[in-house]
Amino acid sequence: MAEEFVRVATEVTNVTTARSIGLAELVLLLLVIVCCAYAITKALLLGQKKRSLLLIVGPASSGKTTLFKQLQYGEAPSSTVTSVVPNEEDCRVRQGEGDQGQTVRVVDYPGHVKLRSGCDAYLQRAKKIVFVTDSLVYNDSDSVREAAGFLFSVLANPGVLRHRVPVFIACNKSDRMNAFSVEFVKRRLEKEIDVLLSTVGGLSDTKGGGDDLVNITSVGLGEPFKLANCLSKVSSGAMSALKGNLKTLKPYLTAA
Amino acid sequence: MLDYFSIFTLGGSVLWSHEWNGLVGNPINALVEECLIDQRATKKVFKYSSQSVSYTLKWTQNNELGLVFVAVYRSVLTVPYVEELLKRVKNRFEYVFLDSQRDYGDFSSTFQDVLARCEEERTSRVAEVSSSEEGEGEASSPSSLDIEKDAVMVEKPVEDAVNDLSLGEDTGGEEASQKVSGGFDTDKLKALRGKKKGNKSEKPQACATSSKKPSSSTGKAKKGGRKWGRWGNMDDGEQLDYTNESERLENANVEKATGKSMMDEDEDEGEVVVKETSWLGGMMKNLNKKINVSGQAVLEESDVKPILETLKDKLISKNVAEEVAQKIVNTVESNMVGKKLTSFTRVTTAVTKAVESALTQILSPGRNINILQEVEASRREGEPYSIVFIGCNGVGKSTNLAKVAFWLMQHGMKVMIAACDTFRSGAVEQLRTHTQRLGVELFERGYEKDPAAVAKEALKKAKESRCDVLLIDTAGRMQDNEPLMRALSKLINMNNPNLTLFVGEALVGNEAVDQLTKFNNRLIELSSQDQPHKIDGIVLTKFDTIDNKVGAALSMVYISGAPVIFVGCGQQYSDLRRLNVKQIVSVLLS
Repeated sequence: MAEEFVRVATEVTNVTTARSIGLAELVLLLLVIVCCAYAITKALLLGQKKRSLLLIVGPASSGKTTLFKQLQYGEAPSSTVTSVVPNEEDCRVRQGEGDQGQTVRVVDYPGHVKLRSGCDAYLQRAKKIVFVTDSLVYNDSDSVREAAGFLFSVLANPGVLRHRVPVFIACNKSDRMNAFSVEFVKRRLEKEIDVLLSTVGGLSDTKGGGDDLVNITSVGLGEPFKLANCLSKVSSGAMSALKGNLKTLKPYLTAA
Repeated sequence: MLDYFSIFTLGGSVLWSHEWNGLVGNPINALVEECLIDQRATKKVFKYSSQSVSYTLKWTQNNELGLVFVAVYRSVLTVPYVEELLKRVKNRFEYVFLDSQRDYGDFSSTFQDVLARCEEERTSRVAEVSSSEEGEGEASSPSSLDIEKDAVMVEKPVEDAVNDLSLGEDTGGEEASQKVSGGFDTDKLKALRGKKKGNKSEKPQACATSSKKPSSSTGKAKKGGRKWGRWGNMDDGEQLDYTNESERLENANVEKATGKSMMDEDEDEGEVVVKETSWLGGMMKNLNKKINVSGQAVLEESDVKPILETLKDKLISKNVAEEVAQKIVNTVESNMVGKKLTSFTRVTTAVTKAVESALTQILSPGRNINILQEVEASRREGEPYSIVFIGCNGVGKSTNLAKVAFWLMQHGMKVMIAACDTFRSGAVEQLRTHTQRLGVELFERGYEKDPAAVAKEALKKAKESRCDVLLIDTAGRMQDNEPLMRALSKLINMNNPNLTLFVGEALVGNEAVDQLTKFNNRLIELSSQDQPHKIDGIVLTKFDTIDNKVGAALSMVYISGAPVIFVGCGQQYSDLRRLNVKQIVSVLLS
């Protein structure tokens, strides 16, 4: 992009010098150059991959957008629909009532399976990851499988793995009577990831590459998978984004 | 009437919504998934059904602000003014929309206003149309279909009025007037019905007057000065006059245009001078269009279209079905127009990026299908996992079935193969050769048997002998062969396989559309179940023969909505691959 711009800029100068330059045009040109410099620095700054985000991920309709709005405004939205684009906003996270709190950049990435490939770019920039999961669906094996697969892909992301980005498993919708307990959710996820690990790496893809079995834990691959053994620190807690009960989540958000 | 109207952002928060009747299921989420995430944004009408209630959803979007407007109503009703309503609500909402605002409760009154106006105008337009029709009368007998449609349109307000009445008496005056207009409409309806019966020649004029009398008293007072001729003939006359005039105007324009161009030819120098002064400005504008410096340029159709045309040609040259390429390009266009570019992006780059992400979204599987994981799950339940392979003749069903069997065996699964091709001679023998080489069990009942029954027996046998996976081979069939399609549907409905895989050649071009559409449709139409089995996945065969013409993958996935699960790319049992979405996308756009 930068070369392209230099090329265009020289083109502009060449053309200008070829003709007699009026004062007005010179000023205009200067203005253009200043604007360009500003835009270039801006673009460069944006391109920098700083790990500063609080990333909210999780399967579709688990309550990510509700949690995001809860963090943004301190109250839940009336209703939400399936997100298509990520939400991104600076939010002030407070520990308690009188607390001044700290400003965090929060991103809520859509959970639909088809959009998952775009998640990597955000995982690269994440400082903390909240994995939201619907604790009502843990009697449905398909949903559990999807959640486990997603969680594993987050934990096995090279960037997450390298920087040991801490992950919080937020068991949402705990206000409902039929919500499963955090322990149960964790156990199901561990079990499902275990199955997943035993089936990873079969077919190579059309490019010739295959997914290698990555060890995301500190113990050997033969051991049963435990979230506690993960290289990235995994914590968990029940919460209700709709009712605003984020007690278990707050310490994780405010921790350094 | 409408059941639900909603305004929400692409980010997923509902800004404003109104519910008339409770919705069954979640049609809005289905719409978002189908139209926005699955890249079918050109589809402006969406059907959704859940628990025997079917809805029609119409929607529109604002790309600049990232807003979506949806109206939901029952499919059995016709709500003719929905498009108009959406357009107007969109216009009105754009004014009140603020990025920081989250409560739009006060929009309700505006909405009710717009809705009432739309309903009203529709009623009056129907009256207008019918009156002019009556005027034409015998001259050009309007098709009965048209009348039918109008009649339905008229019926709407009547129903509304009745609804309102039954609801209670909170708004006295309004209701009364509506009731009156309702009465007038029934009159009209009767008139129309009568006319439809064939007594057209029988005093159409009288009909017109009788139906119009009450309307001119109530309707006119309400609308305040809206002219809709006392006599149909008058309207017609005006219409005719107008066209004449416009024609005349056009002629004048043509004359003017020619005159000017001659002038230009003479006074060439003057033109040059003008150009000289605006030289830099023109260039800047041009530059800003090409590489957006200021970050303010809003994309217009004319910016996007030529780029998309070249991209479409590129896709077609990669063997993507023309229809599919066109639809994808249209979707991207409708998503791009009105968007603001970020600083320092070329229009070309932005459009290419949009197409790229659209293609990625299309090719990415919508449901995570990890066959090994699913087999593992059903093994724990003690049930064999069944996979049916369907497809046209000679695409490589049996060969790739054998490859899949080989792959499953490598993962320690106990596999059984069922020969349900009882149609083509030699099919069973072909499979037997494979099973002997692979060392797996073959279930066969010879030829001339009902394949559905054979599959059923095979399932039972597989369960008895504790097999993990049952692979069911079917006869190849062309999509237009009705008896064979029925047989296939029966096989699938009777046995409820866990996975239905469509086997298709990577060589196929435009034909892919027809094949997959018909296979999928026949499976759905002929199904006796509430949730019909569709094609769950695609096996793309002969991938090693096509070089960079990988378009069939895109066509098939777009048409069926099912992901490519296996890619067959060679003559060995081990030549089975997964699709690398990134690679395919980059090849398609290279």
